[in-house]
Amino acid sequence: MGQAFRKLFDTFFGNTEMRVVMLGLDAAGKTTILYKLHIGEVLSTVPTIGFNVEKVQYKNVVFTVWDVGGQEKLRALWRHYFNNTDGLIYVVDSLDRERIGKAKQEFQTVINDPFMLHSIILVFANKQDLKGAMSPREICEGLGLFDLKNRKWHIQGTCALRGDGLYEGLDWLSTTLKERRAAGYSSIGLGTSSF
Amino acid sequence: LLLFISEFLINANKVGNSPEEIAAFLKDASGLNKTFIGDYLGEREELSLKVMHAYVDSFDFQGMEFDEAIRAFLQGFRLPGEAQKIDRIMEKFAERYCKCNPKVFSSADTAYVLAYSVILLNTDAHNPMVKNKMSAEDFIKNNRGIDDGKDVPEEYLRSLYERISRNEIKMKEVDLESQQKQAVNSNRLSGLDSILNIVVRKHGEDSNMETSDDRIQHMQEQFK
Repeated sequence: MGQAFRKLFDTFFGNTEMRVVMLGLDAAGKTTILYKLHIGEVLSTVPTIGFNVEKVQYKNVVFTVWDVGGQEKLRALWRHYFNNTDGLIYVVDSLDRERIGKAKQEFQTVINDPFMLHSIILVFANKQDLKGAMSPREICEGLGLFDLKNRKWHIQGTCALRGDGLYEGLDWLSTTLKERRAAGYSSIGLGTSSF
Repeated sequence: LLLFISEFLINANKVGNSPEEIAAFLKDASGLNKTFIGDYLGEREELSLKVMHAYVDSFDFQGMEFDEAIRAFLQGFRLPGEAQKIDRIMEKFAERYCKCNPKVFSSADTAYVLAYSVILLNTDAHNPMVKNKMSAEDFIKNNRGIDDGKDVPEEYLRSLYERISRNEIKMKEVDLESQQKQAVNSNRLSGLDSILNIVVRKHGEDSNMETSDDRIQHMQEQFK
């Protein structure tokens, strides 16, 4: 009985930890997104030299988000961080029509990595505030999201500079993760999107 | 912004037109904000790339152990946290290191992947946000096959792991205090303001005491 109550208590009040990697081509807005999501307003210590890593808490979920990425030669190195990753945030610069094919290449390579097959996928279609931006639907087509089988995915329009759309994306991540854990990872649903 | 700064510097005759001269300025101007230098060096624009290449080529790493060279290299600027910027900077570092030490690695590509891996390890080992730390075995396994399909010797990787894990790559103590302030500032201010703050700080004045117009005036005086 005590154990059952404790478990119930933790379910409702404890924090769930979620490990997330963030990818996207350079200049897509990854650093801005991480800073916007940063816990607290003032950095209290000198940041560690190296990759941006942030801890973000939202609705009882603590996300640890790594900014990884780079050239193909480096992909073997990222895989250490793909192991046990719950989610991928893929950031697309909605203005960058020229490189949407390159983004697709990187995106498809990552989501098809054996370590990532069970990760849920959140795409941030960033810079939606700017004139000439590709719509989220165009980005779905550009990345090949509509062709994904057996993957849980979601696309969210964002404007990182203002913080628009970011917490809506985290909302989907936290809700979807909790659902999956409650179901014991047995259900794999179709992708969803909101435009 | 970057183009503005480059043109401003050139027009003020503080530096010449060539990437080498701009790189020398960035390297020797001790009052410059190291975070700004790092972000500039990490940019993808053509001029920034050329300046970064000239900046890196100005180093002499001959005879230095790999991680020692990385430590020396990273004293001059704050390495940006964005993956692709780290990628570009460390790729050029690796090329330069191999020119200075032609027998240490079989190719610059090996040094490049290993340099990026060292930055990953420094992040993993020393960033308090990272909970599950990479073990020596994880590090060795993660670097399997990076030497054109072959392995870098395990004992080399293990000793590299031990040195990075025990002794964090970070800026010198003398730079810590100002970088801490700058870290806060860069989190709060837009890029241009953080540059203007350089000039203000050199005069020992509190940036809050001045308007942007005053900072611009100071900056113009600085570059006369």
